[in-house]
Amino acid sequence: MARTPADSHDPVERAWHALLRRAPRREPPPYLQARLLAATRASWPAPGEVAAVPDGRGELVVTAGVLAGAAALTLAPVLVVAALFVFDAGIVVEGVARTCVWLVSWLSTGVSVWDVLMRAGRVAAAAMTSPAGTLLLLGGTLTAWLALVGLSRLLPVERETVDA
Amino acid sequence: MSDSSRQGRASALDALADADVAVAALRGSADACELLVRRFERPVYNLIARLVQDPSLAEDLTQDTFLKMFRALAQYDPAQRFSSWIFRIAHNTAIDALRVRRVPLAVPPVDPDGEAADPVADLPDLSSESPEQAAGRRQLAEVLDEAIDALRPPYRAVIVLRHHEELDYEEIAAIMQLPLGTVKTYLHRARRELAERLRAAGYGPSETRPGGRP
Repeated sequence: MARTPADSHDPVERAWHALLRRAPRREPPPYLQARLLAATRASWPAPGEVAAVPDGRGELVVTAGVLAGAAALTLAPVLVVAALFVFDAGIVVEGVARTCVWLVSWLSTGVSVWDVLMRAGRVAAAAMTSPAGTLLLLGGTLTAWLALVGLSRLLPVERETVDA
Repeated sequence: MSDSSRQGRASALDALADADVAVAALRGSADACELLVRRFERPVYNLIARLVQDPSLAEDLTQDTFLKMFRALAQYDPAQRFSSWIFRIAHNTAIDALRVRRVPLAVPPVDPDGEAADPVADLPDLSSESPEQAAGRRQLAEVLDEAIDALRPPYRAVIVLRHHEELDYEEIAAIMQLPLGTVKTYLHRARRELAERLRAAGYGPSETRPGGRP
């Protein structure tokens, strides 16, 4: 088990520690503390904005959010294509454009779009690097790999068809 | 808000561990933020000043470190030691400044099997304390100070983190973002160089008495 030098059972470690703890420390000038307090005060978290302390439940919520977002993004083009079979192309294109405008105006209500994108990126990155996110990513990769294997079995048949 | 209630809150915070103070700061406690600055001003400045060897730059970088720390406080994981987290920010800030100044940071490649044992026999014996040796000890402290300053920056960092801040190897590895074996090798090499410099300054092997020159 790792130990601090003071707790170490190793006599070499203790001897070095006894010697080196006598080396003088670099001491900050007396005014530095006041300067640090003044300079950082604007960056202190405000009492109103209670930041979420990371925990397991929060991680699951974030992962579920990313999953729902990914599902929505995957389904959106499918819905657009499906709509083309039912409605006139002009109506579908107009609908898509109106939805995009509405989405952008909804996202930018009171906040910067870039801020929203940055936050979304951070949340997505946190979810991807979480254990649950990594598991989902691995599952997705495995599914994609299986799909590719399936496709590779179909391709020779297709090539034969073209050659014929 | 009365001064006495503020003092009461501040003293209650004083009893808390660093991670709990950080969580309180994250929830908007100005007292907790102030306490973090008071607790870590000296160790952060010590690490940075040892690395950059310029007091004025060290002050600026200490300020940068605290600014970065407060801005990134929401990303701090309370399961992790707060000191390791802030030292990592301080170390990265100092290393970035050294890179800008083109200070060489490279060290010879690490070969854990090729490193000899720690040169403990070269150390002055510090087991006894006697008043007549006080002057000699002050002199030894000066020699040590110069010897540490003459080390390469990564070696200085491991010496400060291990022997001033008393951190374990895993924490030092996390702060410097190095493998555990590399940290041990750096520490070993730093000590070997220090032993050589101490010997050159007249603080020889075990027959040398504490604080005295041969």
